[in-house]
Amino acid sequence: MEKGKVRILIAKVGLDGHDRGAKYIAQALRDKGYEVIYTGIRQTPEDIVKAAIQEDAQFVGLSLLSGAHNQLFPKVVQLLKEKGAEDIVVFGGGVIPADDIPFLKSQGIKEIFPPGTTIDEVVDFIEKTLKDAAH
Amino acid sequence: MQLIEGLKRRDLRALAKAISLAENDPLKAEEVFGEVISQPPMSFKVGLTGPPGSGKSTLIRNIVSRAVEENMSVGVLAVDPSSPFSGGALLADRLRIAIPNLDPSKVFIRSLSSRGHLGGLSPGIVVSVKLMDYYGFDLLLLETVGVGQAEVEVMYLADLVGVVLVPNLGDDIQAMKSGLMEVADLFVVNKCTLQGAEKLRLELESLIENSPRFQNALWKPPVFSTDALTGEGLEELWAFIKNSPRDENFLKLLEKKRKRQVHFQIYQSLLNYFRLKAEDAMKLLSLDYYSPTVVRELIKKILEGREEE
Ligand code: B12
Ligand SMILES: Nc1nc2c(ncn2[C@@H]2O[C@H](COP(=O)(O)OP(=O)(O)OP(=O)(O)O)[C@@H](O)[C@H]2O)c(=O)[nH]1
Ligand SMILES: [Mg+2]
Repeated sequence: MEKGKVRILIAKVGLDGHDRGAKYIAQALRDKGYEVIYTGIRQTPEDIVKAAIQEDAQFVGLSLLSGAHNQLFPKVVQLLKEKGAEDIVVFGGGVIPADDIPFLKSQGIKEIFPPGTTIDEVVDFIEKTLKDAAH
Repeated sequence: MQLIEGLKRRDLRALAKAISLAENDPLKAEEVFGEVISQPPMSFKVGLTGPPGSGKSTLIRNIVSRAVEENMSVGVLAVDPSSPFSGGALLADRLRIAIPNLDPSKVFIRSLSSRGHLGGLSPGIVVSVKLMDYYGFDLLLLETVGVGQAEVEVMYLADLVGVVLVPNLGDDIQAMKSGLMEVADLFVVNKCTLQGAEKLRLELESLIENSPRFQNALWKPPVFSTDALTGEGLEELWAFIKNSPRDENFLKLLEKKRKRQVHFQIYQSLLNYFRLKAEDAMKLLSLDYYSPTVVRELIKKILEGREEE
């Protein structure tokens, strides 16, 4: 990935209105020096992909607590691919049962952060992903 | 190079990446996009500025939706402040501006961080605006960070500047001394259902009427009252914005403005150059105290660095 500020789109996908976690993560990433674009709640996968491309985000972080992650997260990855933007890294968090994580990863979601996640874990993931991509 | 070809093909991803280059490294972007930045201005550019939370983004959302209804394409550059501590930013103008299900080839919204720049916009904004202009939108909208009284750079980039105010921020003395008042081509009193809104409108009108600046002036800024949540007053504001490029007096004003814009573009580029040099020079010395000797030493280093190139 090119150098410069790392831009991360934090998005609430679907109809779920729980936004505390997403806002927490967005602010914490800003405090770690990233440029965070926060979309707000009730975004369709189409809106998120459009925003990720226009904003030139290197990462899209999805937040979902309602249980619809198995449908909505893979949809975002698939639409990015259709737009030729599969280089944008998708990760996510929220109330997601451990049993669902292998499926989500097989669908191209790079990492999942369940309740209790600390910001340092997220930063480690981002930095490691950037480092791997640089090689 | 690839990016320029992408821009010519009107590839949205190329535009998005080109803007990133402009924001990350304005001087390099100037080199890469030389052909683009030396183009004359094309699209009509409207800037909105005003205090934090006055409703700039929500107004832009209204303007975008009206423009799209009339089959116009719209580009938006919206700046939010960077953190002075981490250098990061939480960019949330998009949250208020974006309208679901809009055709991405008609509406392009890009959030920018001020990255420590103090004029209300960003260090790369001149090149970013040029890129948007080159890509081609019928209407280009610029939103500044929430500003106080002195962040007036938007007047050097936008053809038409709207200053968005809300009631209860002070009295007409605030209005008189603020630099913002001088950059306005039009005023918007937003949140017009709040108490004090009518008083603010009357004060602004009387200020414009009695101001020495506007005696015999070509252009007197009109005042619009709006409520961006209900859409009240938006019809009038949009009609005015849409028709200004055909207004004879406005066109005379625009001619002057475009000359100012060129001066600013070049000045901004020089500032970027010397800012980077200054930042590099600061790294070379251990800076424990402030004295004229230290400053002279640094300036010497900057100039030496210049000759090496
Ligand atoms: C607070 C809360 C609410 C508040 C929400 C306030 C708000 N604006 O967010 C209110 C009261 C409004 C609410 C309403 C409802 N809630 Co509720 N709510 C909760 C509760 C108790 C805590 C959620 C929370 O805020 N946690 C604090 C934040 C900081 O944690 P977090 O969101 O998990 O985020 C952390 C991680 O998950 C992760 N993370 C999250 N997102 C992201 C994104 C990225 C990119 C990354 C890296 C990390 C990450 O990092 C964060 C920090 O560690 C949970 C139970 C629970 N223990 O989770 C139920 C819960 C989420 N709610 C639930 C339900 C069912 C509802 C309602 C449908 C109830 C109803 N019948 O009306 C409504 C629906 C509301 C809506 N519009 O969608 C269920 C969901 C069931 C499911 N998944 O199957 C839960 C799990 C409770 C339960 N056990 O049944 N709720
Ligand atoms: N009552 C009322 N609320 C409004 C109006 N316009 C905007 N708001 C609300 O005011 C808040 C700020 O609106 P924004 O559009 O984000 O304001 P802004 O000027 O873009 O803010 P910054 O970009 O942070 O400087 C939001 O909660 C809006 O919903 C209005 O006309 N009336
Ligand atoms: Mg705003």
